[in-house]
Amino acid sequence: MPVSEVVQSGTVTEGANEFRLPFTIYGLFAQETLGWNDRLFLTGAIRLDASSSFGEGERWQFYPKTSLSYVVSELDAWQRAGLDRWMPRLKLRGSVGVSGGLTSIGPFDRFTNYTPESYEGRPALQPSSQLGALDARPERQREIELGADFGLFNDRLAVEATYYTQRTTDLLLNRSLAPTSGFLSRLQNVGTLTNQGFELLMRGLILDRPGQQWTSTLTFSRNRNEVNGLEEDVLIFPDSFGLVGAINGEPLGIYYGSSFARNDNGEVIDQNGNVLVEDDNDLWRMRDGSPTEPGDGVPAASGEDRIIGDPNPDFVASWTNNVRINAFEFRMQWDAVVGQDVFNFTRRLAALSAFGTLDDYERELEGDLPSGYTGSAFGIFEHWVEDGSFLKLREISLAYTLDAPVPQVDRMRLSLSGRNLLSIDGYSGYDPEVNVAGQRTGVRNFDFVEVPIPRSFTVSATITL
Amino acid sequence: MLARLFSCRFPLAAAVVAGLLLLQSGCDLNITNPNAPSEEQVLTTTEGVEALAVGMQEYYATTTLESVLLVSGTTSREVAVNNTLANLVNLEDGGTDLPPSNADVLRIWSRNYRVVEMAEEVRAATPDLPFEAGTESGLLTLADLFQAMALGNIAQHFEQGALTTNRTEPVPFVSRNELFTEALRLLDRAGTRLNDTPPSDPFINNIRGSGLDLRNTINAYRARYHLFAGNWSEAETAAAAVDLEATSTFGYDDESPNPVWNGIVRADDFAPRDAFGSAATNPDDARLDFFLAPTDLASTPNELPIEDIAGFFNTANARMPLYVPGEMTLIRAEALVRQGELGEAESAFNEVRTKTAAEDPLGLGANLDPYDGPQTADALLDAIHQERRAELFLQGVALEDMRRLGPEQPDPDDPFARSRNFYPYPQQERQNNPNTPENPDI
Repeated sequence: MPVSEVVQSGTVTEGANEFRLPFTIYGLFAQETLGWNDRLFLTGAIRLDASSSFGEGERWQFYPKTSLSYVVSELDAWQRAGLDRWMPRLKLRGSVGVSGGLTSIGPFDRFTNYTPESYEGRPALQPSSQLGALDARPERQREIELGADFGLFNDRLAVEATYYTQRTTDLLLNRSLAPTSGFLSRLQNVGTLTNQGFELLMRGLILDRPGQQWTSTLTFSRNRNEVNGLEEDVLIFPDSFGLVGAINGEPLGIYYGSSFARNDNGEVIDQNGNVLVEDDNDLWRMRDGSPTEPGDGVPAASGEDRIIGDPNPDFVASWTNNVRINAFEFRMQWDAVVGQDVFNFTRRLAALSAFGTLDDYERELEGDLPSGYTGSAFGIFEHWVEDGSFLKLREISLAYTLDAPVPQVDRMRLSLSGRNLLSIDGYSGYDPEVNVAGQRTGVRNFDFVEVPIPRSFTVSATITL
Repeated sequence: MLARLFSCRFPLAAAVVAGLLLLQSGCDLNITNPNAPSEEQVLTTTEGVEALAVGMQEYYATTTLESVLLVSGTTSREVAVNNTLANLVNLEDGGTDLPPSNADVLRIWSRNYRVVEMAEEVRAATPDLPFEAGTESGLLTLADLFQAMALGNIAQHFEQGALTTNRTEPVPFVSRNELFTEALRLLDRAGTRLNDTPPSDPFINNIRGSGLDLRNTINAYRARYHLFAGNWSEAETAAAAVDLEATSTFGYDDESPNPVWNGIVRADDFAPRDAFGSAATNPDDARLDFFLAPTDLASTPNELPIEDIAGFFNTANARMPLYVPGEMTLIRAEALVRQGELGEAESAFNEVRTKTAAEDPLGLGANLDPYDGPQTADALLDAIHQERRAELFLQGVALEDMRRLGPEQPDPDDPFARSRNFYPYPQQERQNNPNTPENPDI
């Protein structure tokens, strides 16, 4: 057997398996910060990185960066003008930097690897279904960031605001291939990705007295993401049920699939052309009248794939309150993610007659939905995309600290906390915050019979002796 | 300011020296994959190409055939789906309920093209390597045979397909007749090469599958594809060239299990239907006992009556024939009917009908009385269709037979009628290849 050294390449194995992933990375960097008068700070750094995961011509990468910050509130002019009374602290900052993803692919993903097998006691080799890409380049990302940190009301209100724009070139995606290529997927550098947005953090010290303190923190962030530079109209990601892709001018991870048939006004229509409108249960009903003939009230597929949803949120926010009164500490955190779509595969499968396990199929059996509704809707993916915006009570916790309750113990802290206590959302499934693809950035918000995030309660005691 | 920068020259210099030392050390940036050879290593060595040829046979015999026999068998009603996986349910429903995004449609398409790709690699790499003449001839013959079988599988299940694979350009599509023509060209070439340069002993002992009879398999598939392409007299000649006492089988073991056993017994995704899924099966047909073990079960979710599997598929190691000798006699019979020789056709066809298990090298015998129905061409073709249904059970040709010998269009209410004529082209092909034609309605 040429080359392969692992256990399962032998011709007689008993289910043993071994996989080795050796790779080498080098990094050299130099960084220096210069300060002038405690007011102006300039930092510059250069990095030189190499990774064995990429091919010879592409593996050495140079990443420079620089940042500048200026504490405006230290200026004599600022203090002379009395501005330091209402804004005692103001720092402006900006930075530009380049980074990359030298470990973003597996050590041998750029090769067309031949998997060892054995057949009738003879060594066999079969090409992997992933075609190699020896010229794959690591992604490069250039980011520009501008921000201001300042304090108001005697520094009782601290604000940090940042605007950023990132541009990733040579976006590296594992894209699907036509099976007539002999393979099913391949790494490819396919275009550019831009992310633009801003982040805001406001921290207010509402109450500040001896033994009593209340801090309230609000964060808000908004990101706009866009793919460009693709040669194809649509590039579909593998392992996404053929439903997620990259399209020029659209955010990454857009849903692309079968859609409702619509009339010239853009209204959804049934198999007989009647207009349908959505009810409170994400089901579609005839706008005028009730179903009388076969096909009435049954949504029709347009026969075309279109953009049918976007898992990227409009904004993400959170609000945290920390209160301390003598020995008691109280914490409460709310999280909100608004504007993202979720693909409700769970509901889609359960509506199919072969499973028929949730409400929708029962409605069709009882006559509430016209016969044929679930069968037709099963083939229309647009039907199952829902708004997954939520506001969640992420955590409440209460703690009490005892000083020297017994002579041997220095301090004891008791706490009771609850996480994921409440979710205010319009999603018909259990939890809009799930993803069958896990942490993957390309494929997001696929609810495919996922277990919702559990509500949990913790009681703990920390004892310091 | 600058002075302060260079006042820390010692740590800076140390860093530079350390970096240079590291680069000189043995830490190599060119690491060979210890798990699997890359393409360059495989296609430039004789061991690599030999192993690839073995791998191609293993992949076809297990993975490709699992899709061809069981997915096609569902559409032709030889097997029923016995699992509630959505893609299987849609496959059995067929018609417009089978979407192009169906995973089984993708697999029956992609698994055959992976075989074509492997065959093309073997064919391209072999002449440049120092093989002895008999081994080179054997390798090229294997490549031609398996590519022909893969193209034939595509032609039996899709209206159009591609003749070759291409890694960089989208491939053009040709009609299924052109696919059969190409398969026949490859088989003809393989047969000629086999005659001119017989394969060497190392090839037969170490590379060619253990039960594979190359010469007879090549002629058998020539007969089969000439029949499907409508070349009646060529089909008859090719069928007559096959030695009816010879067998050609794939071997299996625990690591590469029999694909039909795998799908039916191990995974329980499919189950063979009663009476070969045909309303016209003769209950006295001894082949029923050969292929099936009777039970009173019904399939999930569509409640079709099913049996347990026996025959060539009852264990993980059971050998499976690439063709059965009876097929050759039936091909001759059908070709004769099509050419108007009804008397000769009937006697050929009776050979299969009356054959006992002891007379067949694979133990497959119908043991029925000779045909005594009407002497018309249509009646004989119906009877031949019935014989093929039983003799060629789970050979992957039943769907083609139903189109050629059965009704023009299937009756959607008949549980014995085929659920589609041809499969839609898989969505993954259409998304990446603008040459993909329109999907057939059914």
